[in-house]
Amino acid sequence: MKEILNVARLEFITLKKKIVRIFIIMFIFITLASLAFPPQLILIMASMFMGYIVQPIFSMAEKNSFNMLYGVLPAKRQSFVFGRFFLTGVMLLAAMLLLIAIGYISYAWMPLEDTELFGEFAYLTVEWERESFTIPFAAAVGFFLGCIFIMPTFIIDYVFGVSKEAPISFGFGIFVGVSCYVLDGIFEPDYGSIIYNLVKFFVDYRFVSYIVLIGGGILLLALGAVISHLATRKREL
Amino acid sequence: MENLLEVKNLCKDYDNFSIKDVTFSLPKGFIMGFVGQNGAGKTTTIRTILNMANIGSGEIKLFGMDSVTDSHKIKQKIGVVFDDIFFAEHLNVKDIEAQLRCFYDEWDSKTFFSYIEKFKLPLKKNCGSFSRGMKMKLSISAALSHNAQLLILDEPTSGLDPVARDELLDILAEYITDENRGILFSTHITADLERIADYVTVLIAGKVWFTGTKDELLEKYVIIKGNEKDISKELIGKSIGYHNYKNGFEAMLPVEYKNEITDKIVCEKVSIDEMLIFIAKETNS
Repeated sequence: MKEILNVARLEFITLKKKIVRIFIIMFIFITLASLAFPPQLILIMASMFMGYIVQPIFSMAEKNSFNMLYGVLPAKRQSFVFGRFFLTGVMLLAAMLLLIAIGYISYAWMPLEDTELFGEFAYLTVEWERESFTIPFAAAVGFFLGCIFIMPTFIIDYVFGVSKEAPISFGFGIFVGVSCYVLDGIFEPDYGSIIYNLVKFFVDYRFVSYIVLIGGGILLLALGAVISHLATRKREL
Repeated sequence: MENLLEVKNLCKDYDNFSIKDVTFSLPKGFIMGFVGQNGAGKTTTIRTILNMANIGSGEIKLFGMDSVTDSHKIKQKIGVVFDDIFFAEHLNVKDIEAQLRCFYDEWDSKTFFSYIEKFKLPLKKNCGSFSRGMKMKLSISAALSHNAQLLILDEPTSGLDPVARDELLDILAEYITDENRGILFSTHITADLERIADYVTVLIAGKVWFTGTKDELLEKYVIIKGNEKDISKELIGKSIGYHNYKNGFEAMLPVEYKNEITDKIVCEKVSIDEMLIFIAKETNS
């Protein structure tokens, strides 16, 4: 565990100037976007992309020959993979907490009414306690979605390298989009009913919902770390 | 004599290159020069020692420990300098120290910054903007700041001016005064080795051509020169890198055949540089 923390610290120091900049940009973006859109929606979108804070480490590592640094440092090979995923999880959690704070601030002064906020789903506000639930819930959903996005991206970066990430991710995205379209055509799900039931479940079992979202996200990152390590453990530095 | 490093029958294959049966040892308290042409396999061997490249077959032990299974323990005791730095170029010296200190049980920040001060390296400037010599000094500072028992240097003097090279060699000479330490110094600047190395391993096309003391190596061969009429075919066959030129011939001859040369042939001491040239000529012919 000590080695994993050391690696996370090493990579944080490498990234720290970029991370501060990204947090500032996200703060400004969310605050301004909340003038026209529900802050919960903005939080989910922002959280999804916060995982990409750590993504630049891949290109930095390649550019600065970090493979030599990793070869010299007294740490096991897997620590370098797990350390990077650990840092990502910590960054996402930190972003989640920050976004909750920003969400409350923007919610407090935003000019929109409930019907403007939620449109056809405005009736759901009866079920929800707005200030105490929807903001942190949205941040937790964003954390979970962020983990879903970042896990395959990191695996691709580890296995194929940063230069091949874009075409592979693009191809994967097309595949997912086409699959969703086809499945939608076959099953024709009632999205309103699904969302309502999901939200009702999360409202009724609030503690469980946070466990599922945050715990599930952490599990996804752990799985990504294991897959990345297994795929690269025999690779020469 | 206790060995810090033992390499036994190391073999490794790549698509268009291989190293075969590389065997040598570095005893405590000595400096070993690791020489060979570009592409001879020096860096490949070093990377294998550091477990950065996989061993094909053979065995490598450092401090009596296996280089693969105990790699992370071994690296606590090794300082490594490559021909270029492996730190993020946008970081300064303080950032780099903060990155490294947690990894080493015996990291000494005071020692690190004392070297930085001695080398007059700026603390707040990005290391990417350092000159070649400054980068080497930064790498050396990091390598010497965690009580390393073994220094592994892979062509650290390439691209350095004579003053910087001289400074580095002085640092190494001071480092080795502790008899529990050792240095493996890979280079193709053989003048550096002739100055400080105790042992030399010569790698030619992926194979060990010689490993032993520097004095033994230099006394093993002589250079012969003269008119081609004055050398027998038999002796040509025993020589290394024989070649004719306009005014005569040149070759390297194992010293055991020295009594077979006539008085008309000139016999001179060989340097490591010349040795490599003659070996290359022999290999290419």
